[in-house]
Amino acid sequence: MPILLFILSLSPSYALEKDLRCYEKIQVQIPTGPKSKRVETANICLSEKSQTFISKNCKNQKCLAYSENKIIDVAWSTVGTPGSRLCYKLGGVAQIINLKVKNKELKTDRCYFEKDQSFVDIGSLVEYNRELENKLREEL
Amino acid sequence: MSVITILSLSIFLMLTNVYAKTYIIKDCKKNKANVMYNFVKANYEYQDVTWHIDWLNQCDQSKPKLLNEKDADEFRQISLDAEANYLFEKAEALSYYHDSNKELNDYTEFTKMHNLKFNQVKNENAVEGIKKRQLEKKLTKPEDCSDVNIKDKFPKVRNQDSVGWCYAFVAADMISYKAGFNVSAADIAVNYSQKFNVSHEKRKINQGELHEDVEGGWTAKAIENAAAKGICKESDSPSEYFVEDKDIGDFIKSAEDPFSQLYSPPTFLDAGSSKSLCLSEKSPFLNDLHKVITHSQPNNIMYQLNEKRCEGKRLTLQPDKYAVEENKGPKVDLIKSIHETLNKKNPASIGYNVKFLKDERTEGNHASIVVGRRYNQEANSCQFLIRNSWGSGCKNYAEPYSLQENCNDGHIWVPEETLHQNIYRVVNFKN
Repeated sequence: MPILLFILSLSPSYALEKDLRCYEKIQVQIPTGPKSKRVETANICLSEKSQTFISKNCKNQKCLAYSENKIIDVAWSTVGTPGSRLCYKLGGVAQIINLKVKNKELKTDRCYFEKDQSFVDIGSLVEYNRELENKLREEL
Repeated sequence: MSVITILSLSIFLMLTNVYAKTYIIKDCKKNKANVMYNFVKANYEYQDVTWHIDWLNQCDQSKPKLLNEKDADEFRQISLDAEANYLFEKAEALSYYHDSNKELNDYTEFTKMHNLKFNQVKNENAVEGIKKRQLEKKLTKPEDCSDVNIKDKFPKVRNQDSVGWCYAFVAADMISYKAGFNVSAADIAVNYSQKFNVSHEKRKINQGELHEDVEGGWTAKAIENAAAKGICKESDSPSEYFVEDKDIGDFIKSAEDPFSQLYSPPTFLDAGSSKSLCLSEKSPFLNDLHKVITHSQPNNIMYQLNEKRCEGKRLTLQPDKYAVEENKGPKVDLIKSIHETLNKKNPASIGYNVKFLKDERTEGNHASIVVGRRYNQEANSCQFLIRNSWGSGCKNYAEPYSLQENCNDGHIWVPEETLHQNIYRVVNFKN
């Protein structure tokens, strides 16, 4: 049992995944100008508790939004919103979006990776990166 | 001390030394030199990175080495001075709030350990000043820290994204507060850039990577410039999604700029997802555009786009009403000035080092607005409510600022003593 707990504690996804609930065809609105927006649908997994959302293909962290999340430069966040900065540095595109889930609208942001169409909310991107960085610091 | 004790101690020291060396050698194998080098480069001007420099010296296998001997020595000295300075400033700032003997001791121990002689006379006097101050009462007593909260008088917190427009968001918010409607930060930023020749879109190519040339600005100058030129509403020139691909394509097609001939509009239109001109480093079409822009004069595509959006909608302001005064310190005066402004139920814009909100490691100049105050009994500390421009989430912040009790809807509660340590400028309206 202690071994199992230890293994689970090694996986950063554990705490995240147990709260996630997945929804099909969620409306994602992307403002494109003063009075225009683009509307897409996506399969999204949400955790209200940890205020996290990810694209469904990221559920097991096997998507670019996670695999590309690595320590690139400690100084990545000197200018601008730290998470948006990080997103661009990792090869994604930071977007401000409106999500419509169960008739509720939520203005939020995401880091989008066009290649596999995966995304993760920017706050969680930062959290995950901080975790990687802390781990490296401990090792050093 | 007995011979056995001395012997045991020597063996222990020998073993720990061997272990330390083994540990470093083990780490060398992990090829972390680049990460370490980036850390040193980003931080040597602000904190002690001598341990990291030593690690690099021993473990970096690159040829030539990432950090040469001459630079290493220079970095080491600058880094020690910076750390001593940081420790001193910390002790001084905290001495206005509580006993800072521990911090003062950290400083004196550090300077002794590294035999630092810099500013010694000045610092000896200053150390005496800190000791004396500790006998006096707090800078801000609980009764001077009555509840103020004017955050609801502002529009919803916006997100500056990855661009260095914090000063423009602050200027826009300050003007919005007085004008009573939501002012475009993008309009303020591009007009600032045009007026002061600070280019947000001009980038330089350095070792194959795109880097921002100049990104920041000064709040007071931005407010003054906006008051003179007039402002545009946020609904007319949105700041969070400033330029969409299609807009650029349409604009290029209609523009008379020399690069319109060089560019193929369908590439813009096919690009698909939403990418802002000022932000995107990865979009191929924007990289092309970047090349065109950097080779074009005048370098003002964003200015022209914004002008088009605000055409016929620009609102004039009375410059006198929006006149500002800038206070650059000393820090005690800056804190007092924030209190005075809040007492009048007005917002105070601040320039500060933002590292404490992020991770205490990476430095960065930032601007925000103080929109509230409360006394936290539990912490026995006066706290300021900072309105930031990083969106409404909390995960961009390091603990404890990311916690629910300190972060709400893009606003962060920060202890006065922490702001005292990091603040360098306050800008207020004169009237």
